[in-house]
Amino acid sequence: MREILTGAREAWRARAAARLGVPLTFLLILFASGVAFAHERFVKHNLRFPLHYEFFGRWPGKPLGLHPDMLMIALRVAGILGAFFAVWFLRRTLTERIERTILRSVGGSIQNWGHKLACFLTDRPVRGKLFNALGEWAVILFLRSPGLVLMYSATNDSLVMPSYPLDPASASIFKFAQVGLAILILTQTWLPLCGALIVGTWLYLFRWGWMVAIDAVPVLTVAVVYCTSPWQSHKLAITKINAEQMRWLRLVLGFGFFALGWLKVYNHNLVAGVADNAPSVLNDPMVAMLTGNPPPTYFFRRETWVIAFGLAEVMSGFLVMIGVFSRVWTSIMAFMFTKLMLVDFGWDEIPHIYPIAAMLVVIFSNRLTSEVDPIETMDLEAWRAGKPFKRFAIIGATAVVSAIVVVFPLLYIISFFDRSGM
Amino acid sequence: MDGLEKVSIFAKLSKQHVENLRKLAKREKFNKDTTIFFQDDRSDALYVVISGAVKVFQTADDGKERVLNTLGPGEIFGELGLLDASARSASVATLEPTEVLTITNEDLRALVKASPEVLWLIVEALCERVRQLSTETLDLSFRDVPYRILRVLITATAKHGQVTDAGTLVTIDAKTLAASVNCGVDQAMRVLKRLGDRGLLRVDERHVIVPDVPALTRALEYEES
Repeated sequence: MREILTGAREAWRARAAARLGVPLTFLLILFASGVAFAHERFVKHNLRFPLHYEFFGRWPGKPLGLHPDMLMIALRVAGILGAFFAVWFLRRTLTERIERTILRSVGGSIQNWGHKLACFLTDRPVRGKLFNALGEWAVILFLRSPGLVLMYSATNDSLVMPSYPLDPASASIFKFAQVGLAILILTQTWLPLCGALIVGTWLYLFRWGWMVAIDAVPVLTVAVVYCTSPWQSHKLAITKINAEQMRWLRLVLGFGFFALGWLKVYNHNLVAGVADNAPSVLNDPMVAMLTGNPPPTYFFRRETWVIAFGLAEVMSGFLVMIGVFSRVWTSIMAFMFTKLMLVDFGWDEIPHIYPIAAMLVVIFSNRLTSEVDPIETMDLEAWRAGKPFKRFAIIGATAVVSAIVVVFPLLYIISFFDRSGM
Repeated sequence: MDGLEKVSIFAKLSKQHVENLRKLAKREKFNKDTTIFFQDDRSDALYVVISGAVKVFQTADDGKERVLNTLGPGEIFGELGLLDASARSASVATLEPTEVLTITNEDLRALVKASPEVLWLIVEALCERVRQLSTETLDLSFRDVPYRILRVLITATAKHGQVTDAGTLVTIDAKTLAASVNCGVDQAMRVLKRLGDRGLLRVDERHVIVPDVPALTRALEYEES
């Protein structure tokens, strides 16, 4: 019986893969005619004052050949990364100590709420009626929000985002195509087809260059869930996503922001231009922590802000990608995006309701895993065997190596490229 | 002496081993409604109930609780994780002021090395749990709620009922009882009221008093038929 079921499942998968190829090919042919052109139409990013480009280049004689302020920001980011890694592996020891010494003596509902808070902060399952309901609601919002975004872009003559306006000559075709896809999404019909169309749209973005495609990587998070949903999706009440879907969602979402962070460092003109046009974005507490909050008269104020902003995104994206304090980082990111949407840029950023929904799914998920689980298993074995030195060696080596590898090699390589003309 | 040698799991140990255990093990007191450990916690110790009562329960994602067992003096809990190194499969919380003996993983290993018969006692406790779970599975499949409630009450009375002038007192509330038999609290209260009307038990906020335990056992037989 099991063999028959496995065979049927494999045959179904093969058919599903074959079906996915059809809409993908159709989409690529359709889009190949060239219908849109990309530029930032709504969020202004033109530089008002030229940057001091020497800051981003080589500084012979200085450590790593980087400007000392840039190196200091990188060291702070690496330090925070290392600290988060170390605390991640020690989180159970720390929370158990707190729970046993303080919360146990209190007992009752205070102990239970304290335990739930500890579970939330350390990516462990939070079991409760409200949390569960919020998780289900977040999944519903996440699965449908791309439909809302597509409807919005169709009424704004743009492709997915206001940043990509449609060519008037063929705008109506694409507006209908977007509304059609939105209807499929909102009615939860043929979700694998919707996933393929989103992947196809993302591939099409390479037409405008790799940076545009990198900018849109977070769009793929929902495609992961769509592509792995059943064809009969319209008959199902999808309010949960499984651990494997959750893992891919986290990987894609985290990688998207990790890559976007490096893109910000690379394309400093665009980022500084946004700050020139919307100075309120300079007032970011996390960025201020990394730059040491230089005075407004500081010569490299905008330049240090660009590096700190970019590396902060690299750090948060990387930690979400590998699943270290995913809930904490996606909560911070959700707050930042909500602030951008409601305070800094207004309605032009309303499509960001989609990544916010993806973050909410991570925040309220009880199926979070981590890419460093194998290392944690080694650490757990050392803990059970009562080998504290082995534990600290594992934790220390992982924290230091990760912090160095994530930050410094790419920063060093990018400094060789002259990006002043971008 | 602190009564350690009277705990069933250690009754077969020599005086020397009990003395060694007394030095290693830690006695801890917990107030009522205190969680000793939570589901998914790391397993680092085995516990023996010295006095009081605890409930073993699992919590679903939506917060609903299912009470797997209630334990009294002499019974152990937390042994599963020590044997297979996995996380805690259930939470354990006190139903009344409770004193437990805590034996850490390393100490238990040392004890088992010195007295392998301890491991057999732990296996015996595990076997009892498996039998109980099998019975519960059967009950959930084929028995209705009143039968399941009666069975839980009779088991609790036998395991950790306190004999008083009014009858055998069991610390269990309607919520815990409902979570034990997988029904709603309202339904559990209705069944308790019906049993009370028949004079089989009396109920207050947190206790059930059974005036005549054999009568309650006979009631189970009638529910069965």
